[in-house]
Amino acid sequence: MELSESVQRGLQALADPSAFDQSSYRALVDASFRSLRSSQADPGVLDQPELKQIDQILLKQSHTAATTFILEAVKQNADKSTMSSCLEELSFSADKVELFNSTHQKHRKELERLLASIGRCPPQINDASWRLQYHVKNGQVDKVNEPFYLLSLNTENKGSSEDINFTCTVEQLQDLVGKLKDAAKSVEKASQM
Amino acid sequence: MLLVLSDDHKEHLSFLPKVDAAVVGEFGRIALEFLRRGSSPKIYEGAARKLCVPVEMVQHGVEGLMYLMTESSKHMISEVDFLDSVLVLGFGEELNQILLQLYLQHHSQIRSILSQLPSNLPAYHNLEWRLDVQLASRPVRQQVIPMLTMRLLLTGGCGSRDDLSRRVLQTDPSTLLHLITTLEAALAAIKTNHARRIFRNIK
Amino acid sequence: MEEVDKILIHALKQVGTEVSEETDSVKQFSSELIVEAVVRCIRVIEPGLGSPLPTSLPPGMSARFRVGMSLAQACQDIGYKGEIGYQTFLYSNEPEIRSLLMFLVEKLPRESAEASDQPTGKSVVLQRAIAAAIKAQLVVPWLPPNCRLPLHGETQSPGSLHSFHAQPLSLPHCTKGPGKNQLKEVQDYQRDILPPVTAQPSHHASVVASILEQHTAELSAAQEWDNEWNSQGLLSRLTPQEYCSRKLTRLRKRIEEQLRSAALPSAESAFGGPRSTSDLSDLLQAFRGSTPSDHILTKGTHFTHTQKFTFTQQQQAAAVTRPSITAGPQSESDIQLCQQEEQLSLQQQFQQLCSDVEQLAADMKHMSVTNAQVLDELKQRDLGNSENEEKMQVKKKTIDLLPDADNNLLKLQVLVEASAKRVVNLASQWEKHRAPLIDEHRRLKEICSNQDLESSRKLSEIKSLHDKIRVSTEEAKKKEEIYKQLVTELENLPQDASRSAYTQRILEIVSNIKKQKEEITKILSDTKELQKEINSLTGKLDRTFAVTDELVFKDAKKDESVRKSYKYLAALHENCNQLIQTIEDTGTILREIRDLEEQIETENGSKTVANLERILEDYKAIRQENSALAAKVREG
Repeated sequence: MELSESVQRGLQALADPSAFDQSSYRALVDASFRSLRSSQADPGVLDQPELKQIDQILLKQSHTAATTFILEAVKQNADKSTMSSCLEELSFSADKVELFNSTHQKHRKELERLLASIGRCPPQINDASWRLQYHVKNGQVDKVNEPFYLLSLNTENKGSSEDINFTCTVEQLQDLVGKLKDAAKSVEKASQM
Repeated sequence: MLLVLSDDHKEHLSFLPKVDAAVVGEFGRIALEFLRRGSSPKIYEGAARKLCVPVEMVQHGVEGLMYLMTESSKHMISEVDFLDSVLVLGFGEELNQILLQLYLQHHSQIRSILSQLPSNLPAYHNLEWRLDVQLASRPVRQQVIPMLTMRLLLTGGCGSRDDLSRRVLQTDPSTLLHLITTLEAALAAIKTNHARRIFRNIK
Repeated sequence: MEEVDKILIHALKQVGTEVSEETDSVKQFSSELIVEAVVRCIRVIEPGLGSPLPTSLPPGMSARFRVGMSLAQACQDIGYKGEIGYQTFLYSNEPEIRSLLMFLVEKLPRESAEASDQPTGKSVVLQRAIAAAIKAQLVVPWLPPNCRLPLHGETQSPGSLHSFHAQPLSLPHCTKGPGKNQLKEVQDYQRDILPPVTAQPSHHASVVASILEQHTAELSAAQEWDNEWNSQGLLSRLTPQEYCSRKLTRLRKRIEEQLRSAALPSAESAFGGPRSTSDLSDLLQAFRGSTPSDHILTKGTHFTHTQKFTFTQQQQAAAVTRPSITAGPQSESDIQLCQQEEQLSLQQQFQQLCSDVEQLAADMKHMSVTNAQVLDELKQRDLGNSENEEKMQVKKKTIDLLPDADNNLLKLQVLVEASAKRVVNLASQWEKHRAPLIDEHRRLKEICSNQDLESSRKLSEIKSLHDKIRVSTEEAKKKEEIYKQLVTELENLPQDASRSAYTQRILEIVSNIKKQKEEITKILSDTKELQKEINSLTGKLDRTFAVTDELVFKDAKKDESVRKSYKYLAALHENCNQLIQTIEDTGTILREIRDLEEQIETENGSKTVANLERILEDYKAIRQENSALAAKVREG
């Protein structure tokens, strides 16, 4: 895992027992994870009694470094040993490493999900509903007498959902289902490699 | 079922017996052409000059024919009903036969033209798909997310007639399976006794 | 047999058959289990052949029969030579099943060994991961979107909620670092006001993106600098700071030149729009102002001075004219006239002033040019003057010396000679000094070039070292990756110590076989010895009998009692022969009995009676099914 100089410096400060004792270290690590996970920006995340006596600039640097380190670890999918060796290189003591790792393990899944939710992709189909209708007549033509389907695909993109509505005849629906089945078959084949 | 022709309509069509049967046939051809492609006043002028009659008269004649054809095609009236309806106009036997032939030959085509008129929802045209696996993204460098990417091609819809609209969509394998079961249920619904009974009774 | 069965069961378990813990021999296999085991084996051996086969027996009897047929066909397709049919699976018999399973298992390991021998590169690992992911997703039941818990997020529809939107972050700089001489205000701001990074972005969703992007930018900047320093910076033989500052000034100069060349034509052509150019000059000023070296700042160019001057002048002019416009509000009727007049006059005045200004500016330009010219001329004149003055002084001296010419000439000659001598003297002295100096110079030069050589050599060494470092770090990284990959592969491998167990078992079996062989040879030799003994005994007996027979026969002619004894002898011999025959017969019968017993055992093993019963039952079931179907047909 590569870390930039400023992050390394911030983490070294965090490792320094004269700057962060055990309780303030724990408070800062907790605050870092919390500030990443919370859905609201909280400017007062560092206002804690344990962190009061630490120089605020140093505190902010360490907080930045810790959050960056956490995110980088998730981004690179670093395992426990990689993170431990990385922290040990920055002269973290064993119990500090242990505390960090255990906290990280606790939040890992959620952070992974958070990172995975960033990006863009086409709308996702979530559900489909259908209605079978019988076309009897309309303003222009009488005695049409054809069954047809009204399909509605429920899609979701960036948290907002949209319905795609379209009609299709029985043959067209058969075509559609056939194609989807083809797709499902090839997906299944891909899963058996 | 008989067609009820309005007085205006009758008056417009009264021009027809005054001209040759061949001319009526020609009018019928023009009327069908106009139904297919849209009308053009130039042809009226040309015909009016040839026949030495006012342009309005020709126009009324052709348009009357168009209306007659569309109305009878719309209701899909039978041969006998058509003849009975035309009888009101008091045309000769020959002219009635010409009109009947015109109707019988072209009613299915006119129906298909008419069926495009109502405001439709977009209709399914095609579906293209491929299996994608997302392996990394900017914030995450190691992922394996299988995704089925589809392009749904739809025709028509409000305003945009004749051209296809494309929707690119994605779904995950489990939802894909769900979609298939849902749509298969839809296909099965049409074969149920209930649906069959309804279809049979409406016809 | 037990060993064989254990190995078979182990292999079947590996293939994926669910053999319960209690079953430890093929004898205990049920039909279902046999079908499952065989199908799984076939699937592994030949997936195309095995995939349509079901792993469990269907309930219907006729369907079972069909499954058995297709299984038998599949086994024959794979190459099983033994007797096989549906009965093998439905009415199993231990030895047949064992031989079939042995055949299949023998086919198995080769396949899987080939699979494991394949170079499990990255692509294979990736493909496996993909297959696993798809499989996992296919297994997950579908849930309506509003019932999905965040728990399912990873496997189902990980639709992206936010786009990657990064915002610049402001980071507090390290106080220990090079920025020691930071302003106190900046420090105060960072200490008290600056929010923590996670609270900085305007939209909380972009926190993650911003932090990651900031870090990536820092990293790539560091990398860029590293590259540049290794390729160019080292060669320039400067310290990093010097190199940096030099590069900075060079860049600034270039920017300045570019800007100036872009700004100049517009400044000359459009006099009316001095704002843009003055902005530019301000920019230039700013550039200069931010350079660390102060000498550039104070210098200032002629251009900027004139620009500034004209600009301030205009401002002043505007300031002068403005109050006169707003002055003097009068009675309403007059006001307009007055104002118009005033305006006109003012406009005239303004135009006058403008033209005056223009003229003055032109005059001034002209003046400044002429001024410079005049100054130049003046300098030249001054130079000419001083020259002339020197000339005049020389001439004056010569004129002073003219009256006493001879005397003065002599004096002059003496003087000239003396100076010539002195010159010679000085030249020799100079020569004396010069030689060592030149030597010294050469020596120093040599040293210098030596040092140059040395330093360039060291430079190249440093470069090669850098290269080596890079190469080795890359290698290390690669190796680490390979190590990780191997570790994951190792974890993925089926965790069983079967190999050692196998070898141990094989060794045990081999030693068993050896022991048995020894025993067999022992028994064989015993038998041989016995045979020999028997042979020798029979020989002896024959010979003794022949001798006795002869002797007794001879005597029998003479003596009646002896004749009787001869008869007895013959009877005895015959009886003994019969006895021996009987014993041999008993032996053969005993052997036959044993053979038969064995046969009974094998027959018992093939469960004939049970199978027959089952066949009967199944036959009944089929009949029932058939009749049910017939009834249905009749109904339909």
